[in-house]
Amino acid sequence: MQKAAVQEKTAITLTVNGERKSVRATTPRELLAELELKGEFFAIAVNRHVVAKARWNEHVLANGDSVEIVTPRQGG
Amino acid sequence: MLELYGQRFSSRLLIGTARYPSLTVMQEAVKTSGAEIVTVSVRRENAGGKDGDTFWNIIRELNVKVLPNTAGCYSVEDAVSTAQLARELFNTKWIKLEVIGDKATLQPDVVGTLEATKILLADGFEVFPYCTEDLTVAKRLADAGCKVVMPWGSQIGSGKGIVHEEALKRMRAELPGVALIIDAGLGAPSHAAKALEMGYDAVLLNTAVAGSGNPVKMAKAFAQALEAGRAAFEAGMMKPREIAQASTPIAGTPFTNPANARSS
Repeated sequence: MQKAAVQEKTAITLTVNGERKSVRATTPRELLAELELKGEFFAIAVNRHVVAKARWNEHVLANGDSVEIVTPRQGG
Repeated sequence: MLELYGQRFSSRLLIGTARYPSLTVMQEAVKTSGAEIVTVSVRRENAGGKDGDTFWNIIRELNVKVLPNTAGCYSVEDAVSTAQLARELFNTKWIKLEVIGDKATLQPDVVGTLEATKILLADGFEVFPYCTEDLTVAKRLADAGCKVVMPWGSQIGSGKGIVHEEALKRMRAELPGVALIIDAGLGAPSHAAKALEMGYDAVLLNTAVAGSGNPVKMAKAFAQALEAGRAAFEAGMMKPREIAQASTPIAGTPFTNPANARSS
């Protein structure tokens, strides 16, 4: 019963790249792992503010956050 | 030498990395073009999360300067946020700013572009704004602090060349201290030569090479055209005349009476 309560507390709903997702991750680093994004070259913005790579282990994601995860791509 | 925000380049071509038949062809075309600057974009990562890595490793092998764009942004807010993500991703202050105002023509929203330019310059970016042939807008961008301004030749991907020639000549004359780059609409190497003959500092193109029958060969053709166009500008071209003027000397033409000799 208590365990379920803890899980309830830690699962949050985020909008990731435009899609609503329920996740257990609490940081951008954990989010990449949970979404199985295995590349190295990402930039991440939470609620339109860039979170520097150096802070991916520290920045705490909150319920309702909107997260953009982007990579380099072809462009003109 | 081409100078952009204090950095010098020997090539006057900025080339896009999109729409090639394959990444291998893209890489070969960029090498052949001699371009030292390539444009790239930022996009959401897909499931699996390695598409970005594959592309980025190929770009890094080229050992070129990267100019990220804000392509696809229709608002100041989106363009500014995208620029900030690009700065983080590519570790550069350079940004090719596109704030698009119309889906059909991909015409820049020049009001939004100026607004976003001011925000980004204040945030430490070195902005390469994509704009129209409008002289007032170009002047405002330069006044805001842009050392580079990039008016279109014609609509993005149209391949029509320089359709706003008179206005763009005027812009060149009015903004002597700004690096001016024709961005968008070029289709043939002769269009690129023309831009440099007009005194433009460089051209930015993508589809003209990527969408050609042989991108690697076309990349070479553009490099040669740019070299010719720049040399012509530096040499100083003759002034056009309304009527003919014989190039062969008239004096001594056989069978003529020197008293009433006429040119032919």
